[in-house]
Amino acid sequence: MAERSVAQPEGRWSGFARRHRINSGLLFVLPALVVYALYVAWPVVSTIQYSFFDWDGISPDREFIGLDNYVYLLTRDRTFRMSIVNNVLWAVIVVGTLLVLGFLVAYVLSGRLRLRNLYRTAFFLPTTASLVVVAFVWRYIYDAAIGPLNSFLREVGLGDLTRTWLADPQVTIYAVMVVAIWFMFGFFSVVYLAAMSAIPRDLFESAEIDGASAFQRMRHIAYPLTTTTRRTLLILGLIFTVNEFGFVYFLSRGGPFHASEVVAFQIYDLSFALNRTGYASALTVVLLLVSLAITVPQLILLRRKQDD
Amino acid sequence: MSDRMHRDWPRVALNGVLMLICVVMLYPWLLAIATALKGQGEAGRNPGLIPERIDLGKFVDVFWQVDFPRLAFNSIVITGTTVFLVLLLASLAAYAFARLDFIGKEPLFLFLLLGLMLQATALMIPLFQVNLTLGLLNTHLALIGPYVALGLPFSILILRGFFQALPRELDEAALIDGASPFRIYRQVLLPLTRPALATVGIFVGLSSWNDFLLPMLMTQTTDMRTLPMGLITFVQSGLVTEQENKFAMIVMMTIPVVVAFLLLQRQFLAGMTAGAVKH
Repeated sequence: MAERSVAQPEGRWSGFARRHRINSGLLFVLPALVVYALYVAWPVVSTIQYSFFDWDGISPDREFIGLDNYVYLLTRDRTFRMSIVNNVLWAVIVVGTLLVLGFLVAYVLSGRLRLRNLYRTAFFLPTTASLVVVAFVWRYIYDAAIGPLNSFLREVGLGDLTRTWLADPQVTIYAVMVVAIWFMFGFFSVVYLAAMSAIPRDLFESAEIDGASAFQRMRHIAYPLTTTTRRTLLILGLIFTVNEFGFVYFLSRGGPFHASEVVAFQIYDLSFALNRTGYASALTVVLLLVSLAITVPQLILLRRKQDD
Repeated sequence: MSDRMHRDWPRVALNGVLMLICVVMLYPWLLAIATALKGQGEAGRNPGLIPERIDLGKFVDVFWQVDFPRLAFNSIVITGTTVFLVLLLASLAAYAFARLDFIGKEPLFLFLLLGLMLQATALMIPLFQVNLTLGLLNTHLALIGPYVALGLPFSILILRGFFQALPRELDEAALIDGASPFRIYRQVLLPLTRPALATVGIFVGLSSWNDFLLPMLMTQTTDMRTLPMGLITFVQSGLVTEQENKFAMIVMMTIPVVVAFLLLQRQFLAGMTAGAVKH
């Protein structure tokens, strides 16, 4: 009897689903698919297509040159090599710092702390701002002549440390990275914080009673129990890194002498300033392949988890 | 006694470090406000946080100089339409993926999920070409289309999870009453997904409101610019040589978002972190 009452709705449900199999399910998905196909799938396919041509992006005639763009890209383009180096540096320094600092700060904030909400709000504020705004504020801070950073250094007697922050081949890319860290720090720590507040409090409390130090509790409870979040943040961070364009564009224009060039900025520069759209598309294909390599393992994991 | 001191000094040090981070995180905002308040030309000689003279008149000048109402209007139209369309299309699709059975369901879902890895930056060349081909350059649609498409994968993923978590008995009851799948979606389930819709709406809305890349590529005339694009052209036009005017614009365009954030903080935090925690 009990068995039947459970089984019956199931049976009716699948009968219902079968009846509406094609006509309605697809209709619900169709509008989303059309927009997605038009503005995501089609663009991806056309990029691949453009990458086999010598094309300025405007004129109707373009010359098919096979893999020439890729050959040039991999063997002769020194700027591209510079971009790759900077993107890798960005991944290590920016994403690395965000993962470590975000975790530590979230751990501290997850404890019973006064002003916790104030900190969280202050840290998260940049995440809600436009990147343009953030970039322009920092451009003023870094300004070599009138900027607060240099004048602060001069005032406290560290005049030797003053730099032309955004036009010095040695420091510019790092100065830009600082802004990116400042921009995303709140996001990383708030996500970590959300993951940590999902950990049952008694785990920490019983460990504390057993004499585990704050560091041990962090190392053996908070760290292992935020692994999934860490992996997601790592992937998000890497995707942001691969797509990094705004800060480089507004702060340094990839300069001086390409010293702070990154792939996405190079794509923009090649396509919209130098009209080498075919070649820029080959760079885009590389960018897409890297994004794919970063994301696919996570997607497989996600699917597997949902099947469980 | 010594035990207490031993336990307390890390706490003091920790609070010190947190305070320091807090100062670093807040300083640029305070600087922006202070600079916006300074008198003409003052920022060049006084980079500090305290204005020598407060000049509010420039806010009015800048407001009309950049045609703020027009910029705000464009931003509101584009973001509003984007959010509405994403919520509509994503909730329809998410409902089907969560509740209905149809041909190609699994491959189509994976196909949509692949979009999670894409940002507008990666597609700047072909998106420009698509809009050129469709004759949409310099229209609101040139921005709305890509924003909706790029917002869908994340939104469908989040909303599908939410639909799946709703009890099946709800559909059963409606089904017995003879409701169609669309009526179940519209009248039974959709009203219950309001928190998830808010989450997704804030995430998608904030990213399109703040975006600068697509306006940079797709808009050509002054009357089509959004707020971030208005700031870019204002700064790059060369008309604004004074920092104070630039910061007046920055403050004016940032305040509405900050106020919204402070008022709806819980929803903002949920919206901006949903994807990352739920995975």
